[in-house]
Amino acid sequence: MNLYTFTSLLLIAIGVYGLLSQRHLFKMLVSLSVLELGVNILLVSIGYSKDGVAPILTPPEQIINPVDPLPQALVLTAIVIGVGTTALMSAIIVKIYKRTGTLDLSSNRGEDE
Amino acid sequence: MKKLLALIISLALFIFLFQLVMETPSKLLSERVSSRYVQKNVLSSGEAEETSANLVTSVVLSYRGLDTLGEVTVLFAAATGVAFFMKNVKERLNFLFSSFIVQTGARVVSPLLVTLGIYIFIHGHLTPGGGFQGGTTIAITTLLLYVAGGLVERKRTVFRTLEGLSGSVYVLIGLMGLAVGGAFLYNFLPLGKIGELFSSGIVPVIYVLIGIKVGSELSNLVLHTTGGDNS
Repeated sequence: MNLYTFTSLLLIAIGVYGLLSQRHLFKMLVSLSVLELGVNILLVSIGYSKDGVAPILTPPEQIINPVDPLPQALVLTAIVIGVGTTALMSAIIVKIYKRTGTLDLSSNRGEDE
Repeated sequence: MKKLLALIISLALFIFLFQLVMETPSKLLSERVSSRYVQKNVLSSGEAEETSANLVTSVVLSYRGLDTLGEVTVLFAAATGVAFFMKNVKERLNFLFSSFIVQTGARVVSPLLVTLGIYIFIHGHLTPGGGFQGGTTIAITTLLLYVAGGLVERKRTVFRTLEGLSGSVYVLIGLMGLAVGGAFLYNFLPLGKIGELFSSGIVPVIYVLIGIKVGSELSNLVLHTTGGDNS
């Protein structure tokens, strides 16, 4: 349990709180991004080891005490996916605004076609 | 009232996750799955297992190459979805009032940025970086050129062609591995010596393809959400 893990758990909790309490679509999008950031930091911090070095083989062809490359690989792909899904969510939100004229979920129950 | 409930739920989740992380036995963290990836056999005299120096790259493209193909597909689906939803939206972001300094600066900086992106994804198996990072750098160049006054508006067909082509070649390389070595994405090129540019078989080839694909995909995404629509 280091500071990174604690911070990531805090970010996850903040994201969930934002998702539950906000009714504005863009605020929900921001909360989802914060949640995603927290999960990414949590994954990387699981692979952290004290005084670890970057997992890159240098000429003696062995490294002593590297950080875990597997969570880094997962997060590498997760960040790219995050960019794509954020763009997609933004596009959907723009479309919802065009259709209903509001970004507030509580005044938008879907019956106003 | 609702906010109080949300606060309680998120606090409970925090405490739950905190307990979970605290109670994870340290034995689980010391015997890592990736320790065998780290101690892989890289000597080219014997049968080398996999010879990319960057271990993250070797996980992404060698041990988990099929997952990366799926991930690129997800990115493609997201870009297609953005194109679908933004098709009939008329109002776009407009940056067509940029000053002379921004335009000249973008013209000077953008070739350097593209070169940096290409460098990053060509050396993805040796140094930190790779196809995703290099592709993002190229997409940033597109955004910069767009902000500087719509210099890339007519490039959309080029990006679309590049994206489709690189994705297809990725699958094709996988199928060639299936034909040669009997497994999808089998590493059929010579592995070479670790640390050299032409080493580790198909890994740099695939990372270059991913770099082109991610770069053109995110550039297309930028052009869809901004006003790069001339059709």
